Parts: sequence; C-alpha cells; structure tokens
Amino acid sequence: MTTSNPFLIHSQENVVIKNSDDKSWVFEVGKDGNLWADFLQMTDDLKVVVNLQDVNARCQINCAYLTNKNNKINIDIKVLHKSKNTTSEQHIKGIATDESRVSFKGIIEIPKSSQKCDGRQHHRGLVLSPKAKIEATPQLEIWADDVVCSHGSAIGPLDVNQLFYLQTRGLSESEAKKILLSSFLGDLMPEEFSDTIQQWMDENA
Amino acid sequence: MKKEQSDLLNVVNSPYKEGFETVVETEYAPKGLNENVIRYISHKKDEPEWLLDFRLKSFRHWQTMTEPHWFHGTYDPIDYQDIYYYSAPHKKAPKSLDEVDPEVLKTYEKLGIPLKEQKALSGVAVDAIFDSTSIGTTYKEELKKRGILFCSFNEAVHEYPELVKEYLGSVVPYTDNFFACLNSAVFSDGSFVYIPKGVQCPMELSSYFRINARQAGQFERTLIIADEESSVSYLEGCTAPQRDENQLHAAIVEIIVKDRANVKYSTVQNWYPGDKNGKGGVYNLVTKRGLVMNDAKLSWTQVETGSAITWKYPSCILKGDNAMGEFYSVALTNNYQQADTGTKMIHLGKNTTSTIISKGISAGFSSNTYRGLVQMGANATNAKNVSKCDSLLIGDKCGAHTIPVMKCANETATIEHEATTSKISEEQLFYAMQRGLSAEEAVGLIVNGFCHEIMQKLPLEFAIEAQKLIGVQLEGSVG
Amino acid sequence: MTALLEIKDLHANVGNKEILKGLNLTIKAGEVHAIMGPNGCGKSTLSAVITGNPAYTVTAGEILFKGEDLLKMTPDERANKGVFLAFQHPIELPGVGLAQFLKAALNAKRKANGEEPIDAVQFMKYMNVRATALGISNEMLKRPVNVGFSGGEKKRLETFQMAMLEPDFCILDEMDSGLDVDALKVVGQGVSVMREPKRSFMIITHHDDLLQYVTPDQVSIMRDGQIIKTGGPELVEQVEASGYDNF
Ligand SMILES: Nc1ncnc2c1ncn2[C@@H]1O[C@H](COP(=O)(O)OP(=O)(O)OP(=O)(O)O)[C@@H](O)[C@H]1O
Ligand SMILES: [Mg+2]
Repeated sequence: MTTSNPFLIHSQENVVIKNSDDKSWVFEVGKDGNLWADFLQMTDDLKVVVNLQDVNARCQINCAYLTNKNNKINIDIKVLHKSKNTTSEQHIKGIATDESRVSFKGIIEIPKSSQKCDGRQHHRGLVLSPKAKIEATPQLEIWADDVVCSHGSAIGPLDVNQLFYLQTRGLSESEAKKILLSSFLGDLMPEEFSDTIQQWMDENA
Repeated sequence: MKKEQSDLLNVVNSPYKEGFETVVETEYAPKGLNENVIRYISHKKDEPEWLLDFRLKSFRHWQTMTEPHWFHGTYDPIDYQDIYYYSAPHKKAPKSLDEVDPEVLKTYEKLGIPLKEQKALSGVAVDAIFDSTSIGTTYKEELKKRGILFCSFNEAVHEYPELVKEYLGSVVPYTDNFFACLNSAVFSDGSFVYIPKGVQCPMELSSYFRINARQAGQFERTLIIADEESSVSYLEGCTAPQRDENQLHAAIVEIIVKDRANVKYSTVQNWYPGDKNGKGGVYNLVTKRGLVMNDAKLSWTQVETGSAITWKYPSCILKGDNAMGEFYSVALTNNYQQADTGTKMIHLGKNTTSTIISKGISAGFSSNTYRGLVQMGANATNAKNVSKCDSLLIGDKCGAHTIPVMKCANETATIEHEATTSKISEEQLFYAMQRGLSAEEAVGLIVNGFCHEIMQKLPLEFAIEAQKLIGVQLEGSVG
Repeated sequence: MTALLEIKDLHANVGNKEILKGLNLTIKAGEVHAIMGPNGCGKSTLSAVITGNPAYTVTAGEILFKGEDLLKMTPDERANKGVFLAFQHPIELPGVGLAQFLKAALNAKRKANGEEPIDAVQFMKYMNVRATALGISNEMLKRPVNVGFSGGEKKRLETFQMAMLEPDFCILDEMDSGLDVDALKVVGQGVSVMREPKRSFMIITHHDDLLQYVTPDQVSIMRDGQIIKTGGPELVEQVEASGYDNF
C-alpha cells in the first residue's frame, strides 16, 4: 500500500475488477454481489466506475481527500445501476488547504428498466485557506420512475456553532479547530489509514 | 389490481386551450437572415443609427458563432434561413388601442387579458406583445405620474434613448451566447421598465407574449431598471397557436437592480408544447439575467409548463455586498417535451446569499433536467447558498436529471445542495383516492402539493392560473 | 336489517404471502361491528382490501357492498359509494392543504352523486361546524394533510375527515391507539354522534377504550387471516380479561 493515496477493498463478493492502476478502477458487481471500497486521495487523481450488473448488487464507495500545497486533483466517481433492484451509496468528504484544488464529479445513472433502485451520494468539502478551491458536480441521471435517488453536497468552512460550543468549554479557537478537523472525516476511513490521516492533520491543520 | 399504476402509464395528450390562430393581415420581413433583413427591421422601427450599429455588430459576431449543443436532449436542427424575423399584424405602429386590429384585441380577451382601460385587469398593468410588436400598454399614464416608465421597448428607444443606450447589453452582452447574440441582432420588441429612485411600484407590471404568425420567430427583449431603493414585481406570460412546425423564441431579459432595490420577476411559461407525438411546439431558448447591487434583491419565480424545448437559466450576478438572489422553479414536462432549465448564482460581493428551490415533474416520454451553477468568487466572504432540487417521475418512459455545479473559491463561503428523485408515492395516491378523488385528480393534487412552496411565491392570480395549468398539462398522464 | 357488507371466503396476498385465508364477515346496515385480533393477524390487510389498496392482491372470494361487487371498483369509486377508512397510519400529503383536500373530496362525492360542486362559502360553514366539534383549529385546517401532526392529532383529523364526508360505512383502524384521555373522548364522542340507523362501523381495536363510547352490536375475533368467532359485546370483556388464546 502506498502511503500517499491508499485504498482498501473491504468486500468484493461477486465483484470483478476490470481494470486498476490505483488511479483508475472499473468494478463490475454481479448478482447479489457486494462491493465496499475506501479511497484516500492526497496527490493523485481518482477515477472509479462501478457497474451494478445484476439484481441485488450493492456498492458502498467511501472517498476522502486531503489536499495541500498546489496539488490539483480530480475525483470522478460514476455508479451505473445497470440492473433493477440495485443499491449504491457514496460518501465523499475532504479538506483543501494552501493553494490546492479539488474537482469532484459524481454520477448516479439509472437507465430505463432499472426499476426499484436506490442510489445515494453525499459530499462534504472544507475549504481551509483563501487560495484553496473545491468544485463539485454531483449528477443524477434518472430514466426509471420507481427509484429512490438523492445526492447532497455541501462546501464551506467549519461549522461556527460547533466552534463556538467548543470555545465555551474552554478551548482556544485553534484547539477547537484542530479537534473539529481531526473528527471531520469521522469513521469514513478505516483504521488502516489513521496514521496517514493523523500525519496530514498534524502538518496541515 | 395495480390499476393506478397502469393508469399512470397511459399517456394521452390534453388539448392546448390557447392553440387558436388569429386571422389578421400580417406584414413580414423577407424570410431568412442577412444584413438587409436587419436593416429592414431597424428601419421599420424607425431606429436611431446607434441601435442599427448594435444590431449589425451583433449579427457579424453571431456569424462567427456556432449553435451550442450541450443541451440534455435532442431536437431537429434549426434552419435560421427558414424563419421570418419580423412579422407584425398591421402596417403602421398603432398610436392607440383604437387603431389596433379588433381581431388582435379579441385574441387577448380570449386569453383573459382585456387591454381596453375600462376592462383592464385591476392592479396589473400589461404590455401586450403580438408577434414582433407591442400593441398596447395599459395604465401607462397612471404609472408615469409616479415617474415609472413602462412601455414597449421600441417606444423606449425613441422616448428614453439615454436609458436604453446605457443599459442595453450591460448585463447580457451581445457576445454572451449564440441565442443571445441572435436576439441582439434581430430583436423585435419587448417591454421596458424604469422605476425611479425610492419608488415602490403600486401595481404588478406584466408583459404578455403571443406568437401568431406562421414560421415567425419571436425575439423580444425586456429591460428592467430598478433604481436605488425602488421595488417592482413583474409578471410574464406567453402562449402560441397550435402548429405543426416548430417556432423559435429566443428572448433576452436584462435586469439591473441597484442598491437596496428589490425586483421580483415571475414567469408562467405556456408556449405551445407540441402535440402528443412531439410534433410542433415552440423552441424556447432564453437568456435571463440580473445584476444585483449592494443590499439589493432579485427573485426569479418560474412555472414552466409549455414549449417543446425549454433552455433557460434565469441568473443573478450578486455583485454588491449583501446582495440576495432567489430562484424558485417548477418545470413540468409531458409527452415529448424537453426542458433543460435552472439557474446561475454568481456570488461576487461579501455576505451575498442565494436560495434555489427547483421542482421538476416529468411524465410521458419527456425529459426534464435541472442544471445549475453556484459560484463563490474569491471575494465572496461569508457568502451563502442553499439549493434544493426535487424531481418527480410519472411513468417509466420519462427522465429526470439533476446537474448542479458548485464552485467555491472562498474559505468562508458555504454552498449546500440537496436533491432527490422519486416517483409519486403509491401510498399517497391511494390515500387520496380512498377519499373519493379519481386517479387523475389525486395526481394533480399531489403534484400541486409537491410544487406548493413555489406556487406560494407567485402573485395570487398567477398562482391560481399556474395551478390550473399544471392540472391541464397533466391531463392524460394518468388514465 | 339488511347486509351492507358481505365478505365471502376472501383470500388476499401481499407479495407472495397469503394474509387473508378464507375470511367471512357480514356487517348489517346500522351495525357497529368490532374486530379484534392479535398483531399481524391481518386486520389492516382486511381494511386495505375492502378499500382497494393496490398493494394487496385478492386471489379468491368476493366482497359485496350494498349488493354490488366492490372488487370491481377503483378505490375512488368505492369511496364515493360510501366506504371510508380511517387509516391506522395516515399518509402525509406535503403541500396539500387539508381544507383544499376535503373540498376536492367532497366535490368528487357530489359529482359521483350528480350534484353541483359546493360553493366556497357553504363549504366553509359546513367545515367550520365540524371542525369546532372536534377541536380542530383554523391553523390545522390550513396545514398540509397529516404533515407534522402528532400521532394523536392525526387520528383526530381522520375522525374529522369522516365527519366531513359522511360515509355509509366507516372503517376505523386502531383509531384509539396513541390517544390521550382527552383525545379519546373527543374521538369517541365524534364517532358516537355519527351513529345512525343507516350508517355502519367496522372498528378495529385492541382495547375497550373506544368501545366504551360506541358500544358494538357485534364483535368478531380474527386470527391468522380468518374470523374465528362472532358474538356480542361480551367478547370484548373476554379479550380484555384473558387475551386471544382462549378462542
Ligand atoms: N405491505 C406489506 N409487505 C409485507 N408484509 C406485509 C405488508 N402488509 C402486511 N404485511 C404482513 O401481513 C401480516 C398482517 O398485517 P396487518 O397489518 O394486516 O396486521 P394487523 O392485524 O393490522 O396488525 P396490528 O394489530 O399490528 O395492526 C403481518 O405479518 C404483516 O407483516
Ligand atoms: Mg393493523
């Protein structure tokens, strides 16, 4: 595992990995299959395509990005519900600081005849410095009616109410920020990545 | 037993109630587009040299541009040489309503918009545009007493040339996009509004657009200037006869909202949508944009039920500090209609805020896309945006697409977007039917409920009208 | 008294699972008929099938209402024939105002009866009398149907809708669960004033709470998709005392 852009595939029941070079992935999830994969992006682009091929295929894609200096990264995640009765969930969270730029694109596509699908995507981005930039283009492409689909995306600074709350408990602003930042990713990323994340937080937060 | 469900799929079109044609003597410019046609239009309108120059400059630029195709959908190519760029129901501009062809006046009465003062709608001043010309404006004199200028665009060119010259193209430059550029070259008429400093416009202002002539395009241009601390609520309505060929409508609306002013722009768009097989219908390709200065507010509300093709993004450039932008939209597509609509909120000033609420309903074989851009500039300190887009699908032959783009280049700005797509809940449908409502009534009620928060933003009479339209447009989408 | 509702050998599925397994039940005009039975025995399913909920499939049997085949009718036709269901879990209709909803429902019924739509003033009068009686405030009438109301308020609103639509056959599915003492009284009295010689009630319940306000003429015990016993009000006491195991 590289330390700069680690990934971890927890579950790949009935999953065929069509292509992978750590930056670009194509997964095909078969009948009753289950894909669960985590990605942590710091310097490299990421491209993920998940094809949910057959009934009861599921996927959960978690992705965190932590960017600094003048790094520029693109994250592209596309989930195609090729069969009816398929379920997908994507959680993307990240922090951009210094002069870094993040462009995130996420597509959920449900073609005709893929009824009874459930597709969800959440994105939350933190812009930490005046010169950092985050762009998000979440996209729903729905052609079937009996589906439930949603996406949510929020970009902004740390929650001022949370900051204030911690300060009323006696923490300085910078301590409060540090706590909020280090808990920002919550349990999105696995234990295995925590040293890498901690190190980034220590150097950048 | 799945009766409602199969009902839902059974798509038949409903008659378009405004689809009648008015028989009047019509004067056309020669078909097609070239510099001579533009000179002809300008000459017909007796325009000053500077305006002809603006048109020619635009035309020359347009010839270097290509039609954009990022629209989510497909449509037959537009033959720009097969369109009449000017058509008017009379030979000379009417000096008063008495000179207007009675058939044209009847048309407006039939549409529920009487123009003669004694019958005119109370509380609403109307500028009626028939094909390429304004045929009359109600309550003009009364408004003028307060310094409010409300007239046709053409009249403004002659009466208030300094204002037109200053603001024409200031928000939507002629180079902006292909259709805006075309409009800048050939625009026919439209409405002009100026609200002086500190004046609150005492009544709703409204323009009503009607395409009548065959193979004629409509290219109107609306310019609204709200000076400091003024306010106005503006309504726009439109219809066209039922025709087999497609008609082109490429309009521009430019709004300048100065410091502490407040403009509310509402549209109920009901152009002919084409028949149930997708034949005919209006191509509605519109550029609407407002420039919002310090502490000022611009609010767009639209109910889009008509047109074969809708391509429009009413936008706000939030230039001043504390400027506010709002976009509330209902877009309903049925049969083979295609709508690609949304908004752009460009946050430039500090503490600027914007709200976007969009409700899309697709039925039949239609395609409905929300496309939006929220951009936080580097100086948009503490700017905030909240967007919510919900789509409803009726039947399994239609599509709903949500494409919001968020760009944040300021570390104190926040953007929040949420979207959902779902079908009408069977449970809700059953509950309403258990109370005695037919499947169609139940769907109409639930869809109107789904749009309720947008309808509330419309002025009352408009809201009732819009609610009925939604019912009519959905007719046939259920058994 | 003649039969208002006659159910014969009714079998119904949800998905592939059979829930009603040969159910027979007769309710006469003017009768108050309580249905009691353990959780999951199919009581709500029965009310869904009578009202034509498309999520349930009838595989055999018949339901006659006023002598007509109910199973052939759409849910709205059944409603306009006089069948009303107060839902165990009322459905939310976001954006649809309660008053607007009831006006549409009332007019649908009038249309079915060949009557003119009710005019706005008359409707307000008609509604306000009933709202006041059930303690429904003006503010509640303006809110969207069932959205954001507490469980108890929703039940009160179902009773109110019933009072507005004046159906001939009222199915109350656990109207009394989740109500506080005062609300139970309002609902109980609301139902009891509607008792009339030609109006029948099917009251699905687990307790005698509501039945103290509306004494049932008949009580049926349901188990595993069938009616296993029908008798008088004394059955309610038996259930209260020793549950369903003895049936
Ligand atoms: N839509 C459904 N999908 C799956 N199972 C269902 C559905 N509706 C009912 N059932 C099942 O059918 C059985 C009967 O349910 P029903 O709601 O009719 O019971 P009930 O007698 O009303 O129970 P309660 O007293 O708890 O209200 C239960 O086992 C329930 O889980
Ligand atoms: Mg139940």
